Amino acid sequence: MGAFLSQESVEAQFSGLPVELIGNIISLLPPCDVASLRLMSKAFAVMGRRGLFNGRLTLRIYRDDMRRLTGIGGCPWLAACIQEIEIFVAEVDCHHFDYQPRVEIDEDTLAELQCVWRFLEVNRSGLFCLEGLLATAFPSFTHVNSIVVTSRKFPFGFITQSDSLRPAWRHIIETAEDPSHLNSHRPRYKESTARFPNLVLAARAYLPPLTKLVFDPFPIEALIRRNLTSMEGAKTSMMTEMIKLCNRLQHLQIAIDGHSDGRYYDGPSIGRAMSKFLGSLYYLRALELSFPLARFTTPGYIDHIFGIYLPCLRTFKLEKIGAPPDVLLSFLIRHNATLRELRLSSTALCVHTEDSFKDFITALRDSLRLENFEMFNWDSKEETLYVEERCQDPGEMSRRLEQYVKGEGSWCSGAELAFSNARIVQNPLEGHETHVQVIEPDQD
Amino acid sequence: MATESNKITLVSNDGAEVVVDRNVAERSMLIKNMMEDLGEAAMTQSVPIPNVNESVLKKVIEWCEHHKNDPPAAADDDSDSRKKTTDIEEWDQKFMQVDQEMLFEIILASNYLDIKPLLDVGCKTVANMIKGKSPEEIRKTFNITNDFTPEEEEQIRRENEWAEDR
Repeated sequence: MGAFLSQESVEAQFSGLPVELIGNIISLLPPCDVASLRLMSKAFAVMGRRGLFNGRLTLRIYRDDMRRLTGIGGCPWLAACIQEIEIFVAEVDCHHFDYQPRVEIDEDTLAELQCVWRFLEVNRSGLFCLEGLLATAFPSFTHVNSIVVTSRKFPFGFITQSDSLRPAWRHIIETAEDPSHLNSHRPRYKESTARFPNLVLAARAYLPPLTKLVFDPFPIEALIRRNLTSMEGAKTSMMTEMIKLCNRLQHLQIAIDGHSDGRYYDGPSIGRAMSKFLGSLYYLRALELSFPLARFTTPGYIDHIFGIYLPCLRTFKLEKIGAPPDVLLSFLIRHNATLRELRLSSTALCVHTEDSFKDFITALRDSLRLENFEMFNWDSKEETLYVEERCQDPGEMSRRLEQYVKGEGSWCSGAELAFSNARIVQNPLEGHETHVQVIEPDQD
Repeated sequence: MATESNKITLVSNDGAEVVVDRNVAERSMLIKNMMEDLGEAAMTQSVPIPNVNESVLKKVIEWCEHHKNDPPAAADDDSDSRKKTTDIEEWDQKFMQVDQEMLFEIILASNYLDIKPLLDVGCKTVANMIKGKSPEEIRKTFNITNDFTPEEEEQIRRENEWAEDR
């Protein structure tokens, strides 16, 4: 029958599929093919709008994406297709390429990276995340409910698949962020930090209430900055704006960066600021907290953060704070009614004896009703990888610990040793003593 | 009407009766749920499939026969692997080498009968027919008429410039 089909009826077959099935087909296509499909007819131009983005708009600092943002903002029917805005923020200046030790990055790789960089770099005039541009574009994004700010993903995956570029780029970024380089690049670093208030102010004023927010990293300096002037000229504070922005938040992921402009921010008042912010998140169901390794270990800081109560908290992930077991346990038990998933890095805890590790895990078993538990080893090598490259398998010992915590298995001897590397990590502050100044804002 | 135990009779919209093993027919979630609701009574009665004609029904059953032992798909399987449109099993690729009318009929039937894996294969097949083609080539493939004015087409081209990872 199909062999004798007229051309007209074939046309009716494809165009006549239910809209949701055409949507299924479009969701299987990359944006470049969706763009071609949209040029078939008016009907497909409308149906293909969503497929241009698949729900997410990615803004990269390395290309002219502010023009793109405002361009999409000028087409509200396109902007309405976007639910998540992802922003890549890690950056370097061009001259970083010229000072790389040849022993660490070979010349061919460096040349390839420079080629990608120069191909993408359009305008370094400081427009990225400029508040005026965000304010112009954001009102059209009526369906955005998630913002992801990241420096932990490889930013050039969309243009090159070369594996050698990943470690090379990572090395250049790390070199650029090294405190010993900061004095010479101070203006750029300030510009980078200023993007966070710009983003928070514009998102709070012009986007719908967010349900998910990822700041990886989040400059703690931005949170404690007291006075801000909004685009309308009103005085406000970063803390106030953050609390307003997040008051409907269900999922928060923050990797604290306490290092700014050659200084480290530490101490009880930072802890108070963090606890005030976190404590305001009444609807939060998932919280993922990561800290710079061993920097924030002052009891006042930790006590404040773990003194909060989040009435809806179901999923909690904690990395690298080195919390005393009793303080962390008190926080977890306080959330016993809702907490069902817990993920801890080995460096989330600061345990001094093997017995206290077992006591802590046993207390989790006896006091909580966890459905999922994962203990994962902090690995300095894996820490330097991009998120998508890291090993996702927590390992056999972690699985046995989970069974123990869920009351489905006995204690696995050796677990305390398998997750003991928190105690051997050196405080990075010690290595940069001559370059950094530790700031406790109460005394600043 | 069922002719043997563990077999059921499906009746297409053009009146043809197709006898099929129950476990094959139950690849369709629509039929599976209906059997569960009706219990043993369903084994003694013909099951009308009003939206599917005989040739399409037989083709769908051919697919169900081949995949009768597949593990059930996860309820929320929306993973990246599903989105790799070239990732179609060889047997399924050959199965889908049919004219366009039959292809779209299979898609509609699998949607109606709620056979999600077959629906996925159908959608992937159409997506693969689109991938890498110019707008004119896609129009020709599906015989779609260009109804844009030059100004409208230019507007769509401008919008397309904002596409993700262009």
